[in-house]
Amino acid sequence: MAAKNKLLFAAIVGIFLTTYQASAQTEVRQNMVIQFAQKEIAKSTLKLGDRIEFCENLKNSHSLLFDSEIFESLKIQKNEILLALSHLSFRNSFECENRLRVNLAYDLGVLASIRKYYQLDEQIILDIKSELIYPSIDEIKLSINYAKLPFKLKEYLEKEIGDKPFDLLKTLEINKLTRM
Amino acid sequence: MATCRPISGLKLDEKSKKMLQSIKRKGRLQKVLATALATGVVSNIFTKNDLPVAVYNITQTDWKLYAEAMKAIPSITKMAMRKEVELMIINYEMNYDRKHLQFWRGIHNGCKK
Repeated sequence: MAAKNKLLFAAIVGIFLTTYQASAQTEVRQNMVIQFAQKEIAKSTLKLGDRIEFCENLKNSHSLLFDSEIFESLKIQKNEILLALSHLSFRNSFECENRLRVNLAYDLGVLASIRKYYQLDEQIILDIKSELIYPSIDEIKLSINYAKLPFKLKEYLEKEIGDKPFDLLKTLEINKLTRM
Repeated sequence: MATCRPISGLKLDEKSKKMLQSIKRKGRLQKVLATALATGVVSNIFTKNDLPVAVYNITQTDWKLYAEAMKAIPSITKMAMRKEVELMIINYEMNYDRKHLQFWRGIHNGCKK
């Protein structure tokens, strides 16, 4: 009887150890998966940071002077010009960084997905994407309002501005579009 | 353009208050991202337990990568914040409010208390 109990005890301990080891192995794999995803994020963070600096340098060295007579002849209101220039400034900056921004958003999405799979909280990752990577609601509203602007204004500005990032506030200043 | 002029009697409106909260949030998220990268090799803020049996192989390249990625984070956050500030400046140019405009221009120009 004592021998049977010893055998039973050994079996139970054996099952426990196997389960623990399997569980530990699973957790090791989970950590490796998460670590892999975070490494990808590190790479894309680095690339985006470098790209942002490059685009900022382009922007800071580029401001534009427009022909105010064009605005007068088109009977464009000052606020319409402000709206248009703001949108185009954000658009061009975004296009300059676009691919690398999208890459980082993708890598963060992968990590969020992995965390969801392992039943870990992914909200913090989604917050990072929303606040640091994606355009804000105000930027999106700017795009929507830009679309409603007079065609001639958009045509003129897009031709003058092109797709290079430019210094919005300096541009407003030199075109006397600012009150300060 | 004059910068960092004292402003008296500024009462921040709801839009400005909301934007300041947004900028503060971005600063907090910057720290989260930085922490995530700093602990990336161990990822202990993102898993449930410390794992005594886990074995990590961290190469020299890994360390270099994480260190450089850490340096990149402020550019990303600064850009996100700068856009918000510019949006506020445009808002107060379009809906003219001298004090709010002065305030946000001051922030844009990097005026600190």
